[in-house]
Amino acid sequence: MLFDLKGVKRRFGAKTALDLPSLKLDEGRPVVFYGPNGSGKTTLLNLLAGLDKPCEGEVRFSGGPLDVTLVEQKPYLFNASLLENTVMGLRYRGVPRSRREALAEPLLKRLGLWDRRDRPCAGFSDGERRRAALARGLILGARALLLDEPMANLDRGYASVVEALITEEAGKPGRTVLTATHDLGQAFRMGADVVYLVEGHLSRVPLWNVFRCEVAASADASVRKALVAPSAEFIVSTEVLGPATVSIDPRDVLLSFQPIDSSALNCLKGRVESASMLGLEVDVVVSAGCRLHAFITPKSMARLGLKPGDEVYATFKASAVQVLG
Amino acid sequence: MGFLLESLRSAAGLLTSLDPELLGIVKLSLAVSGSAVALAGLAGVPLACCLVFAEFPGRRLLRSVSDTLMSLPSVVAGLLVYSLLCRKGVFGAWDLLYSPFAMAAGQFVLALPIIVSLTAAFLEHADPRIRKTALTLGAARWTSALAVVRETRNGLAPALLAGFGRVFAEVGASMMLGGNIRNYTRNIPTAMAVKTSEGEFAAALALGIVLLLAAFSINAAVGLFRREAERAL
Repeated sequence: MLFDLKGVKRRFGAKTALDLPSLKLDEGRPVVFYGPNGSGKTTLLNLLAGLDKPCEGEVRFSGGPLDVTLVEQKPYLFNASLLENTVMGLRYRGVPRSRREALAEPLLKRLGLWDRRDRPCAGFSDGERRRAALARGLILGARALLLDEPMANLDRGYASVVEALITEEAGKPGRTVLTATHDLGQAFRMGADVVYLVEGHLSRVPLWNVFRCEVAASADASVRKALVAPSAEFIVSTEVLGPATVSIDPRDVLLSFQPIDSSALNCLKGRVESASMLGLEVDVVVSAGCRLHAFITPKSMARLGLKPGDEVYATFKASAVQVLG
Repeated sequence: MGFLLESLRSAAGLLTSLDPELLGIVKLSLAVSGSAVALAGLAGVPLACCLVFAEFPGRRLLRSVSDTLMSLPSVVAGLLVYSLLCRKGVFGAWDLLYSPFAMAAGQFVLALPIIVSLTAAFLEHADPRIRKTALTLGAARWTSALAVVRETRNGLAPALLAGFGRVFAEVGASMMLGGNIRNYTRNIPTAMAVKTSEGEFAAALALGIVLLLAAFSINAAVGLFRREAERAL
């Protein structure tokens, strides 16, 4: 057991950002914390990294402070050259200079930063800063590597490099990579366990609305369409073509009696099959060329007065359709 | 008005001719205040780190004590050091009173709270990610505080310069602890006081001009460092 969290609560003012009765994370198993903005992912990573303390409960870590490191979403780079930044953690560990540079070179080369190693980080772009911070975290080879949205805001062309580096790190013996992300595809491709966080609570709901489909070009070149059996068609925002697995977060699906005129590109007409309570929400199953789950609050349910058999429109954005692989 | 112009002219003459006594006074002022501020910086920056980063009971109280001492009257600082250095004092046997050392000690007491409070205020407003990043990369508690000081070093210069500005022009403690002994413990402010009372307005004015020039340079330097620091943040 790498991390063992018991009765952990973290509040900011009156708001409870995180409430985890129990969470255990095993050594060597990559885990992805998935959830919408403000769901407590970053708070959890800060607790795991030992940078923050819970208001209640305890976070038990089987290693010492040098065994865990966090790469933040908006990383701070020291007022020094890129190379100095990259090896800062190794310096804190007393690794000799020649060894530090030998470790940094292959990593920075793969991340396309080796040529800029002597430049001060102050002038770096967002994407470069994120890659530099990732190198600074990866180089440590810590037992627990915590990554906050590692795939967000990367320069084009580097997403695959970064993902490959993370997947390799997760595959090394004795390493555990814990990632907070919006991108479920990464979890899927890494074979990571998914921990779903909703408003600071664990939700034991792994993936919903998972469909095998065929992604094809559409009339508009900027988007593609996914053909889902038996007869549904979604607009998706992806670069993939051909057979794929997609997933739609049930919380991203809006239900209405009239078609909604909005920026969302998907508005499917369907019929309510069933509606049942699931935790604090209502799981409405809509048959719209495929079986689509939509989670709505009991209040919305009461307001709409949805009944099985009603004709409804299910609306969701093209970006709500996650292409898993 | 004619009298003032006449004094100004003689003052310019004293300054341009590099009058040896005047030079000695300026040198002593710079040496005493410079060493007092350097030592106050060496002690004050770590103290400010303690006030900001360490957790111990009474931390807030100490912080407000330091804030209050920023406006410590210089004669009170002088009295304090005097009581330590006079014949009956703890260090009386060492015969340190009426020496440049005693003056520097008084100025150290005056500069320390200013440097501690201004540095602490600056460190408190530093980017919280600096410390967090250093910690997660494996820095020990104190190494991470050092990282914050390193990252904000441009912002710390104004604290030192403010301390210098405070002690360079103060007269009370220097008079009490130095005794205004000619060619030994006479610095710019005490010399100005004595020259004025002796009716040597030209000499007093020349010293006043040096003091003003020094104040101006310090202000310019503070402004420069502040701009640098703001750019770095």
